[in-house]
Amino acid sequence: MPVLSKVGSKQRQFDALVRAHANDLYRFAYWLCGEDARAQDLVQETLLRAWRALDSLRDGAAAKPWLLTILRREHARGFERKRLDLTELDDRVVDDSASASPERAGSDAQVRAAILKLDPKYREPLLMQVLGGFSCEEIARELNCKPGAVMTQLFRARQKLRAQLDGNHAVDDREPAHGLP
Amino acid sequence: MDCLEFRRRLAGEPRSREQAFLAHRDSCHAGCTEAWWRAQRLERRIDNALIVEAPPHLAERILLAHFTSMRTRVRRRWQGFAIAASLLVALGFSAFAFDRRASADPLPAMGVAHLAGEAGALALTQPLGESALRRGFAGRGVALQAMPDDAVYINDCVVGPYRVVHLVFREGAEPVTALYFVDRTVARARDFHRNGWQGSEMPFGNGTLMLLGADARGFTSVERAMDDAVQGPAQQALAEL
Repeated sequence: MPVLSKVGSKQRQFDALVRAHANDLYRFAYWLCGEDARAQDLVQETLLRAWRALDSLRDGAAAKPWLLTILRREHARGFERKRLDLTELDDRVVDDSASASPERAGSDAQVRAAILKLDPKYREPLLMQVLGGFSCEEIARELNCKPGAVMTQLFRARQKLRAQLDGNHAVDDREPAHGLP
Repeated sequence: MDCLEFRRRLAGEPRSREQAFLAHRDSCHAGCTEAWWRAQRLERRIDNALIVEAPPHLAERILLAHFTSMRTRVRRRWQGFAIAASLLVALGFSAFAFDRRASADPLPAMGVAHLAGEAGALALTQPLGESALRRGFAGRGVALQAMPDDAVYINDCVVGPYRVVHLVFREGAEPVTALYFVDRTVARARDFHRNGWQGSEMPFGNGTLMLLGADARGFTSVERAMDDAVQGPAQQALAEL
C-alpha cells in the first residue's frame, strides 16, 4: 500500500534504520528468546516502537544500542505476559549443518545448546556484550545494576559455557574466590 | 595492571582493547598470555555459534507491514470523521457507486491485485542500473529508447492474461507503480480509485500504461519518463520534425 506523503523525511530515516539494523536485531532477538517466529515478531514490535519514538533519536550512531534497548524491554514485557513457555532446547537449536563443516557444525551446535541453556540473567548480558557491543558500564546502566555485578555475570556466563562444553555441568553460582579464568 | 586485575578483566571482558590490559598480556610471563589465548578461542566459538541467518527480505517485509499499518491507521481516522459527519454519508454512497463501476472494469482490478504479489517492490529506494532496465523491457519485447530516471524496480510480469512491464518509481518519499500492458489497448485515458489506490490508465504505444500510487502527484513525471523510455526522448522527436 502506498504511504501518505506527509511522513516523508521521517519515513526515509525509518527506512534507513530498518535496512541497517533489522538483521542485527533479529540475531539478538533470536538468542534472547530462542524462537524464529517470536524473534521476527520482536523485531517488528521493536521497530514499530522505534517509529513512534523516532524523533527522540538525535544521534544516528546511537541507533543500534537504542534499538537493542527497545527490543530488550519488548522481550521483557512479552516474558512477563507469557511466563513461561518451556520449549525443548534441542528443538530450538539452529540447524546450520548445510553451511558448515561437520566438525564446525557440531561444535557450533554444542555452543548454541550451551548458550540457550544459560539462565537469562547470564545470557542477556553476554548477548549484549557480544552481539550488541555494549561495555560493562553500558550493560550495567541498561540492567540497572552495578558494573561489578555485570562483570560477575559475564564471568559466570562464560564459566558455565566452558563447563558445559567440557562436560562439567556442576558450576555453582557462588562469587568467584579470585575471578581467575 | 597486575596479574589478578588482568585475570579479572579477562573473565568479564575478554575482548577488551584497553591499552594496560593488552600491555600486560604482551609482557606477563606468569601464564596470562596463554590465558588470553584460551579466552579468545572461547570467544571465537561463541561468535561462530551466534551466527544466525536472518530470514530473507526481513527488512523489506517489516517496511511493507509498517506502510500497510500506517495506511490502515490513517484510513480508520478518516473513517471516524466520516461517521461523525452526515454529509460524508452521501460521499460514502458516491464512493461506493464509483467502486462498483470500477469493479466492472477488469484492468484496474487486475493491476491493483497484481501489486500485492510484488509488494516488496514498494519499499525499494535504490535506482536501477541500465542493464537491469534493458533486460526488464526486453523481456516484453520492448526496445528501451532512454533510461527512465528514478526507477527502483522492474519485472516482466503477467497480469491476468496480459504481458506487462512492471516498474516502480520513487518520486520523493512516494512509490509510483507503472504497469505497461504491451498488448492490451484502452480506448481512452481515465483516472480511477480502487482499494485506496489512485490510478490512471491511458493509451500508450501499442498498449496501455497504468499508473498507481497514493495520489496522482508523481504521475506526470512518471508518464514522461515512460514516454521517453518507450517512444524516445521528446527533445529528440522535436528535433526530427
